[in-house]
Amino acid sequence: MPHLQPAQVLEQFASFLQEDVRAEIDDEFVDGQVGSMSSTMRYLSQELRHRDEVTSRQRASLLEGLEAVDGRCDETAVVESAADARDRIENASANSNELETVLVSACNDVLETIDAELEGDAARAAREPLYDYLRVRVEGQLEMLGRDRT
Amino acid sequence: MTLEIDDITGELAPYLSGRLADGDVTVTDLERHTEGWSRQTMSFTASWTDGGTERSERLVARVDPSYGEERTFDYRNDIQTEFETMQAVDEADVDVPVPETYWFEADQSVLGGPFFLVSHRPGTAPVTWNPRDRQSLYDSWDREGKPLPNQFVDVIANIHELDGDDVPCLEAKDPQTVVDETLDLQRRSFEEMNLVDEPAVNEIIRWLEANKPEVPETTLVHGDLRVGNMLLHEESVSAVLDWEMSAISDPMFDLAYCSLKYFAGKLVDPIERPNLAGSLVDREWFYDEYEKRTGRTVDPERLRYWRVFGAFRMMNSGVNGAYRYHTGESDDVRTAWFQYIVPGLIEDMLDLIEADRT
Repeated sequence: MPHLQPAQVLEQFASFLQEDVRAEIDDEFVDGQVGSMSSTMRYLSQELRHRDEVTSRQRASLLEGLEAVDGRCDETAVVESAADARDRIENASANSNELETVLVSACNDVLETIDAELEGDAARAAREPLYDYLRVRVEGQLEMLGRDRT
Repeated sequence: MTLEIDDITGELAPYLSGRLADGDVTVTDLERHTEGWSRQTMSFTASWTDGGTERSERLVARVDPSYGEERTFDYRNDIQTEFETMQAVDEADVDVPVPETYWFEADQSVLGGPFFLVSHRPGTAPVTWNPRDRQSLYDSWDREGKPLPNQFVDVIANIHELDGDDVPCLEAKDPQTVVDETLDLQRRSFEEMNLVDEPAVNEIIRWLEANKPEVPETTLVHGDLRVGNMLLHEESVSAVLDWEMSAISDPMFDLAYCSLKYFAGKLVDPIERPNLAGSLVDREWFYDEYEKRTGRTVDPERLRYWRVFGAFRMMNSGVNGAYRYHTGESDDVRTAWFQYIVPGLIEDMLDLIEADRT
């Protein structure tokens, strides 16, 4: 299992709900529920298709960002936090679910440390490369919902 | 709980008999509207005989079948307060179109929850995520004389003529307390209900904490003001609906909130005319006209703060929906779907704060 690709099955079920089932429903509330179900299945299908690639792109972006934090910051606590985050990412499982959890947690830890230890321009400079990751992450999420990659 | 149409019709007719009219009232053409979440809205025609004359009227009932149930981080006003807010606006000497208010019924045995009755108003609420509705709003902006955009500004300006004394059901607080409490509530909501501790959102919270505005005055604020909560009929606003988030707060909140890209129809892809707030009014024109009509100054930084906060609160609705579906608190399919509003809103908030944070 599976003989069929889950993403393809979800996509086709979503189309069936949208195009055939909804036309037979005369209750506005049930129609709304089925419409949401169809839309959710379509998004889940795209998530299944693109998630590994999007997570891998996030991983590369965060590692690059953490390296840049190390290069532009002298504050020991921040440098140590970035180094610890890099270690955790490099040792994380390749499974997208688990990897994404590590990426999110690592980024949160470093941003929190920057906020606690630095102020003004120094804090802004340290945060900047991590914002590249935040952008890559949100753009990836939107791509999984159907936005074309820029 | 979903109310069945036959049950509702069967309960409403005897309930209205002797209340809406002295004699028997019949209820027909009951229609349930899907836009409500836990509060359900339905319209129907009530008919009766008055001194030998047949009379009928289209009415709307709004019911809270979940009243009294524990609902995590439910920051809406209760349904009685929603009714009393509409009633206060209806009775105030301002030109804000609201349905005529009839009465609030606390007895839950009639429709399975407390409810209120108001008159039915003509028109439809545009769905800005629907390209056809969006195009219709663009056409209104492009139309000579801009009757609908002008009325849109008037409606908002007129709501903000009312203050805490005019709407006694809403608690009036010190302006800074309002800012502190609203942010604290939304921050705790995200912290307790998120299924993913998004680092971008934590950055947004830190920005919101660090940039709280000085609020010089409070007025009645609709709280969920957007073109999608207005009934439009023949190029005019026939009713402003959904007063369940109303508060005595900073009037700039309403301006900022109805300017969110999300409410102009952005979900995943950028919209065609992002400069049009609500797909209806050019942002700069809107703020300039609001200043002219109210004498207030639209402070761009306060406005930016409330745009970020408004997007954060909206995003929290998506986060909360996913949480309630995840925990089994709700089995409404729409709450599961609602997670998909989150990334687009995060993108908009990052656009607004990134220059300050990097």
